[in-house]
Amino acid sequence: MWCKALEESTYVDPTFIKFSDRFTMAKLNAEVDTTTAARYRVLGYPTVMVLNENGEELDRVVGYYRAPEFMSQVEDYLAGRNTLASVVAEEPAKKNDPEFIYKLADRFADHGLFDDSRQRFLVFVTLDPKNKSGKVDDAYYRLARMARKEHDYANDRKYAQIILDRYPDSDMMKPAFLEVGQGFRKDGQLAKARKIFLDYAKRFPDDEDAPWAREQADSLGAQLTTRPGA
Amino acid sequence: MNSRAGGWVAGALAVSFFAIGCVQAKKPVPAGIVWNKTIDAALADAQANHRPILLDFYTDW
Repeated sequence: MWCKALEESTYVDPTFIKFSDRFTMAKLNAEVDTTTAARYRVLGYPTVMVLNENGEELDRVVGYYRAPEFMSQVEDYLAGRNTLASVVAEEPAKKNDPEFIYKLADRFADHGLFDDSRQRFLVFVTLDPKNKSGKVDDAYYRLARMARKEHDYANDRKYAQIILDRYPDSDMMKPAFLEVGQGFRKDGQLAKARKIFLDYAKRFPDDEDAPWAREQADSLGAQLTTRPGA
Repeated sequence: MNSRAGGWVAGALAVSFFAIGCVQAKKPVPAGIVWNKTIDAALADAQANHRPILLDFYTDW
């Protein structure tokens, strides 16, 4: 969805097209060229790598940005500003600054460096125990999603459950609810996953994700008839 | 007769002016981006031209 936005907005912007003259432009389908995607630790899409002429990473733009913001990030990286390396260099002076630690965790995650990212998100949640930043729920959600990407489904559910228990009024509550279901499903615990999706659809019948949750429950129900023990 | 012919010429001129106008209006739109489709092609191009690379990893969903 966001790949398409980049395609239909940023890449057709005349200013961006002119800007692109300074670069070798390349486009790879990450699901086809999995070797190159893995070599650059690309885990979210779209990811646009900014490389020097030898193919070494200067940094990366992860997600969709309109042309002005996109170009500004690329200019920064070319000038060595706001790169992951430069942000890491600031850490000793800012290690108790929750906002900075969140940003660093976010950057590590964008780079596929999940151990470094997890460590900073866990520091962040201890630096802001009362959730003054309003981002502790987001941090736990990011931890859950990273755990799922690493097939660590127990921790995926654990972090999502923390949001449900401690931050039931947060805007991450519904995504966390569904994340618990995904965690069970990926773990092969189909009956538990089905129950979560059914509960979701029952509790939030008018929610935009309710039809999707019902579909998941139905599909899991069908699978359970052939694998009743799961 | 003359006035009708004159009207026809004026009309033809107006139509061709409009047509040229359309062509000219399209001209300023820059050509699209030329994409390399493999990492090897991108690296060869970047090294030959001594310029950095923007490498977009996308998915179809």
